[in-house]
Amino acid sequence: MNFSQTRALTQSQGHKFYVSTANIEFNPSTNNLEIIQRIFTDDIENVLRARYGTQIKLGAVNEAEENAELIKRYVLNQWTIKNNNQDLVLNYLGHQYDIDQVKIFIEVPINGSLAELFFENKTLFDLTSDQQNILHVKVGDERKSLLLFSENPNGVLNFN
Amino acid sequence: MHAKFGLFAALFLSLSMVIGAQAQDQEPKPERKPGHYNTNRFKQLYEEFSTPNQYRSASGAPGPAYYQQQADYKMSITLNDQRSQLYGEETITYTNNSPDVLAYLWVQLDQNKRARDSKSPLIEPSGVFPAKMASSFVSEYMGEGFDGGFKIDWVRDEKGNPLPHTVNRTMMRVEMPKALKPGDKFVFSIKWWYNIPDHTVDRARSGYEVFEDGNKGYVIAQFYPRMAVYSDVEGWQNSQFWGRDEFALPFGNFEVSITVPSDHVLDATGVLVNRKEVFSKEMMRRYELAKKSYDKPVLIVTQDEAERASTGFATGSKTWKFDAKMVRDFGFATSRRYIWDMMAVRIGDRDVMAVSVYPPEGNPLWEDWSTRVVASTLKSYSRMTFDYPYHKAISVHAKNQGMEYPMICWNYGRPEKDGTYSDRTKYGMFGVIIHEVGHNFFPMIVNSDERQWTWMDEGINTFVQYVAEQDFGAAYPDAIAPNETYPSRRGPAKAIVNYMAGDQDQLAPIMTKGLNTFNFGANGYSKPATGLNILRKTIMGEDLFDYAFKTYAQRWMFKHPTPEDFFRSMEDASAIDLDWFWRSWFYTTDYTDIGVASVKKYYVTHKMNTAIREMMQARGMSENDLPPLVYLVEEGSEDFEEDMRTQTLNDVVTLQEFIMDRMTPEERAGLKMPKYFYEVTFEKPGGIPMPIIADYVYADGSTERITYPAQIWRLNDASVAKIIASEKEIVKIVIDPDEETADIDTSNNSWPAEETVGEFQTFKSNIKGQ
Repeated sequence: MNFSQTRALTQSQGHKFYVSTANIEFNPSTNNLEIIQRIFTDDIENVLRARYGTQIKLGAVNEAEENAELIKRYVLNQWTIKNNNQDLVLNYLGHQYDIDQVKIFIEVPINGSLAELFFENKTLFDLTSDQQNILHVKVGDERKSLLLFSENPNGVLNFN
Repeated sequence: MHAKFGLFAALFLSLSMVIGAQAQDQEPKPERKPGHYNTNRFKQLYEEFSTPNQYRSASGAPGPAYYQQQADYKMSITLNDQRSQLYGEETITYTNNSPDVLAYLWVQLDQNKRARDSKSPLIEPSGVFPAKMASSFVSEYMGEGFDGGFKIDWVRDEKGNPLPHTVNRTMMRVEMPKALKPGDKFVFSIKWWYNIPDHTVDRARSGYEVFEDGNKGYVIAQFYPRMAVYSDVEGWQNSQFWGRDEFALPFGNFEVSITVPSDHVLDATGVLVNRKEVFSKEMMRRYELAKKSYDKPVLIVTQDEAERASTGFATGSKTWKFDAKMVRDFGFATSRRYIWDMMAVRIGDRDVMAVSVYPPEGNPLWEDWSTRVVASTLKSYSRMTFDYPYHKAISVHAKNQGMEYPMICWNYGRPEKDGTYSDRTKYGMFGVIIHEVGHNFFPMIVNSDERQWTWMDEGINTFVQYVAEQDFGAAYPDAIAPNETYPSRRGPAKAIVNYMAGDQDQLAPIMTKGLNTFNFGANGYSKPATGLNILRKTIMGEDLFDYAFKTYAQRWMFKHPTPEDFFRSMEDASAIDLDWFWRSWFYTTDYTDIGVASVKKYYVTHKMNTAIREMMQARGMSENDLPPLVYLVEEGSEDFEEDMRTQTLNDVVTLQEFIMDRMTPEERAGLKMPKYFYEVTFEKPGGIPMPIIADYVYADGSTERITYPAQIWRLNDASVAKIIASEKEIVKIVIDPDEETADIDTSNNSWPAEETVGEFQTFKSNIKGQ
């Protein structure tokens, strides 16, 4: 069986198999969190079709320009990030296709010092209850991870 | 002289003790550590591996008493296209080649995974969902659900007497009138039917798809009760089919006749023995042409003909007959809406037919590429293993499918209705065809137990898939333009880093049953494939790896290997001890992280340094008690003097005297004159003891690569130091410069620490430039 097929198969069987990964790194020179989130293009295409119409095609040769706006609207709405209980503003930079995945680039300016970080990410929870979003957060030499799923869509990481 | 050296050796021995003693003086006396078992990462795998025996040799080859069972099938199958039902009667001749007496036989009933009383849905945790696909909602919560599963009409012995049988979900125990002795055969028959599932709805591995014009395309497999494997390692492999872990099947010979509507075309596992009965004259003529066409496929059924057939619905039927020798399974595809093409491909001294079967929905992608991809794949895999022994390999296009059977497989990759397709669709289609055709080698011929070890077929196959993808890209540059090489998703070491760096609570070792892994794709496919690629490219080298890999494939061709047979064969044929690699990469969830901890620069002098002077004083010795010595002084230490920077080895009197006393002018001329001495300390925060691949960059711009074998970590698992003597100044050191070890943290890979421009900043500056 093919690997992609195993992902599709799980839809009916409910294996915890749908995964997006976000690498989040603090850049001390700009005082920004830098997020690169990787989502399978098929998955995000499915969710956009469910929301905005079945004709949406991602990564086609002549891709519709409004797709970029739809991806942004969807992806950005799934994130909430706080530092010391204060909501942070997310600057969406854009997306890039990488074979069967789409990479999302988001920049998050930190005001003041970074300490208690709250992350919520609900990407694709509206499509399948089996979705998992893994966040790898790196601040200096410290690395911490969060595993988010629909019953547990957020978490707090302390960096002191 | 002799005495002096002895004294010196004693002094050196005591050096480490002195340091140890000093440390102890400053701290309270520590508790004595308890003893421990051998926890060295290079410990041999005696505890993990079973003891070699007469069935399986320590070399990894089949042993002198190796045996395998045989199951031969004669089947008569009928498709009811209108009702989407399949009917069959089969006679199984089971040969007991084992030394054991068998009281009963186990037969696999895979279709029961979709029976109404299936337990597969019951083992899946489920929570409240914020939203669900309408189709899954309907199938899960509304209506009775699909009436799937085998309906067994009867099980009879050779004389027609009913045989007692017990169905336990996807397994059926058949009791024989008397126990089956070693060497004996038992012949029995089963009559069955089932409702064929729509594979696009519940993602079955086989079933039908309804095209927009109402016609169906059938891709049929796991369609008959199949013998389970009885072996020296598992006894009966009767672990249930929950839907994920695939199959374990014995080899045998098949005679199958399949009756379908007369306007259908059909292809299947095995040799089509009544071709003249089922082919038209024109199809026969085209078939003869195809057998001589090595560069492009020849259409046996054109798109026009398929579309014309699609407008009718024949009431008559036609029977297609196939013979297959030494296969572990049987599959077929049939529709009136299929286009059919073929070309010949030379494998060794034989011609093999590369074949594609697809509905018009697959074009133009399928007519352009499918058969060519099949041909290219057969060549690549044959080169890496053994010459493909079957006479054909078929790629069938079925929506969303990617599933393999002997000589035939189902593959996805469908263009949009207007015929356009994205790169994602195209590479998805290339990749899945290469992968599924590749499964002919693993596990259809190198017949591992998929129910237990997903990685042995999926992982090994994904590794060869990577090689075959790269070959295909090189053979058909137009197909992958503007890429210069095929953009393989799995294989390159750095592609597995994200997974390896993941949360340890969500990782399982490769040596885990697939059903029980968290991330099936990475566990069963990517990680083992990447591990083999690292062995090939970095640890063993292509020559040694390829020979050993081929040895494994050829030893176990048409047999049932276990993981140990693979591990042992790879070492047996290469003389490389890989137990440490199997242990860390296959048996643990460890990851790679190696870096440069520190670099110290030293100068050579004849002046005694503080460390040695203090030791001499402590022992009441003087410099005269020592042989001529050279001393290393660290830059910036108290012994360091600025003029040491400009001195050369010629200024080190003790060294000069030694050289002048003992060497001829000719010998002296051949001496290297290292000027710079470095102590480079490598650290290993990661568990896996990978080789250290170090690029030393010199002030003159030249680079020297030194690869320290993984065994450098055998005595100290955390850090290790090397002295580098160099005639040129080192300005930079980079570890794993080509990203070939799956190092999860490259921020410690450079000295001096380098600010790398990351992927994020690159993207950001690119969009600013636009």
